[in-house]
This record gives sequence, C-alpha cells and structure tokens, in this order.
Amino acid sequence: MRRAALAVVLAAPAALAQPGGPPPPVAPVLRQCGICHSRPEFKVVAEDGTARSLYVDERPLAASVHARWQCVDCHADIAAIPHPAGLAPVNCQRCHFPGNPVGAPEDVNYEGYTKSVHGRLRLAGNTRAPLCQDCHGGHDVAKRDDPASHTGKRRQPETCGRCHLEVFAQYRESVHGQALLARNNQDAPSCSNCHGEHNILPPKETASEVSATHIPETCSNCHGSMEFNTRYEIPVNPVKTFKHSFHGIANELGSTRVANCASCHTAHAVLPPADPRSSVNPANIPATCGKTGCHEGANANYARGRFHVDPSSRDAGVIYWVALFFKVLTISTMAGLIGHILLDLSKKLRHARNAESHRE
Amino acid sequence: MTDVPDNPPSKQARVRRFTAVELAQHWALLVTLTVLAVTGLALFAHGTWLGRTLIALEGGMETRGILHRCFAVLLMLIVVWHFLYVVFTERGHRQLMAMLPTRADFSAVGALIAYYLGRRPEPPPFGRFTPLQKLQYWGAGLGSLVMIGTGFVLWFHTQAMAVMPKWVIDVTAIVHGYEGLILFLLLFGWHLYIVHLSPGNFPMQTTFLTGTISAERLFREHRLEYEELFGPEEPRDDGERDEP
Repeated sequence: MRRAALAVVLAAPAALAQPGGPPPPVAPVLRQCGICHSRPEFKVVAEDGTARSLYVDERPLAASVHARWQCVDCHADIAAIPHPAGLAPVNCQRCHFPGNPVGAPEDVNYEGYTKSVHGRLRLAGNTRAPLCQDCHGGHDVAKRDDPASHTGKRRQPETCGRCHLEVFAQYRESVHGQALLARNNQDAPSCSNCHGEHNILPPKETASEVSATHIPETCSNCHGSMEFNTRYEIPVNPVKTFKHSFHGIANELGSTRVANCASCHTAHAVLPPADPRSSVNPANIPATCGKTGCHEGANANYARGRFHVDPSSRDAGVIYWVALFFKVLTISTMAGLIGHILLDLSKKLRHARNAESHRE
Repeated sequence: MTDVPDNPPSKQARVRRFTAVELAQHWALLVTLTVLAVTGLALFAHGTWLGRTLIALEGGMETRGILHRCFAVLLMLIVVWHFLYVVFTERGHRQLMAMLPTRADFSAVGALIAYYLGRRPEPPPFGRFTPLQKLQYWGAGLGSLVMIGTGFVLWFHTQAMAVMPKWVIDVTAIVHGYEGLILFLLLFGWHLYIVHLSPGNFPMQTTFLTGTISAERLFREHRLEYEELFGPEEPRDDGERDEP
C-alpha cells in the first residue's frame, strides 16, 4: 500500500515562509526536512483512499534527548527526494552500542530484547511487534526518570496499553493501577515491575518473571515484607503463607497446575477482598476456586473461613494450637526415641566391652 | 503354633514366631509405608535439597501425588486385611490379645529403664510382645488410621471444602503432616534401630524374613513366652556360637 502511494499532497507554497515570530530552535537539516514535514496537512494517500499524515511536530523532538541530532542521523537511509519506497524503520543500534563515539547511553539490553517475546516476533517478521521506538517514543524520547518518558513508571501502562488494550483497562481499575495512576503512589507496580523490561517473556515460559513458578517470587518483591503489607492493611504475609500452603509447596516443587498468586487474585485486575469486583471477594470466591481444572463444584462454603492462614501465628486460633501441639508432640516423640536409643546403645556397648574383657 | 523342638531346645533351634500370612502383612506394610513416607516427605521437606531430590526421583509433583494416592489405597487394603485377620482368625485374634497393653507393661518399662541406668542387673522378663514392641505396633496402627482419615479429607479436598469449615481442612493438613513425620521417626528410626541396627542385631535380624527366632534369643528377649513353651530350663549350649 505504502509503496503504491499515489500523491503527496502539498499545500500552497506560501506556507513556506513562517509568518510572524521567531522560528523554533532546530538544526538546519531539520529545517530542510521541515519544508515538507512541518506542514500539518502533509499526507500520503494510499490506493484505498486512506491518508497517513507525514507531519512532524518539531517541538517534542526539540525537547527530547535527541534534540541535537538531525533527521538523517536516525533516518539514515533517506538520500533522495522524493524518498524511495520501503524505507527501513529507525535502527537505534546505530548509536546505542557499547563504546559508541557519540556518547549515547550504552547499557541497552538488546540481548534481552531479541530473546523477549517482542523481539522474537519482530525478528520473525511480525511488524506489529514493537521495536525500541514503539515503546520509548520516536521523536519524543525522554530519560527514564523524566515524567514525559513513555517508559517512565507512570506512563508505562499507557504505552503498553496501546497494544495490550484489555490488560490496560483491567490494570487501570486494579488496586495497583489506581494507586499508581490516580494517586501517584510510587510503591505500586507498573508493567515492568512484574514483567521485566526488555526481557519480557510470555507467562507460559518458565523463565518468565510472571510464569506460574516465578510469580510468587515476583509478588514477593513487595508483598514479601510485612512492613510493606502492614502499610497497605494486609494483615498476613501473603507470600509466606502461600509458600507454606499446599498450593505454595506444589508450586515450589514445579507443579504448573496448582494455583499461584494470579490464579486467585488475577494478573491485572487485582483488588482487595472487600471490593465487590474482586475475584477474592466472598461473593466471587466460589467462581474463582471453581474454575475449570481447579475445584470444580466450589460453593459458598468455600468463602467461609480464612485464607492465607499462618499456623505459627496466634491469630490463626485453633490452627495455631493444633500446630503447636503437634510440634511439641513430634519433638517429645523424637526426644523419647533418641533417649531410648542412647540408653540402649550405651548399655549394650558397655555389656559388650565387659564380655570382651571377661573373655581375655 | 510352634514346631516345638527338644526340651530344653538347643540354643540354635529355630522357633516359629510369625506365620507366612503375618510375614506377608509385614512385607506389604513395609513397602507401602516406605513409598508413602518417601512421597509424603517430599512435601514436608519442601524448600530443601532433599525435597527437590525426592520430587525429581518421583517424576515431579503430579506423579508424586498419584503414587501417594495409589499406595494410600494399598495401605487401606492392608488395614482391612489385618483387621479381618485379627478379628476373624483364631491365630490372629490371639496375637491381638497378646498385643493389648497390660499393667505389667508399665512396671516392665520402669524395670527396663532401671536396668539401663544400672540399678538392675538383668532386663525384666518379657512376654510374647515387649512393651516397646507393643508401642511400635499401636503407634504404627493408630498412626496409620489417623493418616488414612486425614488423608481422605485431603484427597477429596474439593468436596470436603464444600461442606467443612476451612479451619478443619487446615487442621487436617497439619495433623497429616506431623503425624506422618512422627510415624516416619517411629518406624524408620526407632523400629529399625531396635530390630536391626542395635548392637547384637546389626546388621540385620532375620526374623522378618524367616518368621523364626533362635531359642537363645527367645530365652533372652521373651523369657515369659519361652517359659510357657519350654519350661524354666535354659536352652542347651551345643558348643557352636549362635548369634551374639
């Protein structure tokens, strides 16, 4: 389609002279490209009649970390006007490589990217999979801690959400999304806090940060600390109690069928149990536990009683006392058995020694 | 019941102690409890190299579960078999009655401790089953029943959760875990020491293979039973040395 572009629609040449005010501070070559690309009405019309804007707003570029570069420094294959068809996407590796002479940040995890689900799809020829610029921004690349950065913590959900629409919709309403987006709480996780940055892998792959076997560890980055949990009114350590539950033990020993954090709490629509929309709200527990392949036939009785119980904490009530009783019973049994073995052993050895000396 | 030899018997004479059926029950229980212990211990030892090794040996979490349940069914069958044996056969019933704890057992334990501590020259005379053997039998027996009961709830947890309070399930899991550990210590620690590993028995006593015991050992360890069979006279020494 793009190759079959029919016409480049240009407005009146009078617009070449900028009327009034000083021109924006841009490099000369940029200005040269701007002869065409600075015009908002500059478009290419495809065979099917759809139009694609070729307008470049120079202001974000001027504010970006790349302000000092010229268009062709990145769009390096542009050598003729009109441009030939089939121009390549900008390749960031032209500058961002270890030991580059222009001082571009070198610590780019290309390897992680090429092994990631995004990189693999892209390298396999899927043009819908993202390249660097799809996440980091084209002309408006900003430093990571700049609030304007597309990959900054608070803007990530929106950036990833451009492709992952449904996930973004769920996340935005979740306790994590609300905290980060609505209240700017930096404790709350953004996409990359759970999924990783360049090395994002699909959850089905064991190495993924969010695979069934890795999820407890990933969630424990925050929820493993009781200081953190207390701050957000979570009364027990959800990771510790999970790890000691049957689900947690089976998960640790490699079962992918058993429930992990996300199986019950969902991956992106995490909400506190008191919220009626939460998957772990008592009203929704039968449906959550009763998922196909889990506890089919779960009823309202599942929602009674407490989950994430810590048998070593007094708050667990009868469970605490039973566990304590059995701990004492086990230890005293062990002491009794070892005590008897030692008594028997010393008596028999002494006996044998006496018999030996008698024989001599 | 016993192929009674001469009276008094030679020290080396073998006296029948267990029948083939009893040996078969012991073998069935030995194999079943070993597999159950190993597959159960994998869960108890989670987070350690032991747990990971056991799980790897057992072919992963899913296979472990299947194995554990298969052998749990075997254990139930053995319990039923044993129950029928001790209730409906004369020989079995006699064994059960001999296994019942008596008041004399408590004083015998006291005397045994006194002997260990050097306050008594000889260990007390024991009957067919010593108090320690009774403890092993009842410990293993009642322990197995607890394991079967709690194991059932855990096996059918999806159904159990639908009718029982959550804390009952939690308590069940705790009891199953600790009771399993206690049984493991009792059988694979204590029982094994008493029967095979203690000095005099090491490396192995053969009764569990042959069902017989030497007259000398019977005299030494089950004096009351010996006297019932052969009278008070000590077994004859035919010159050859028997088991130490």
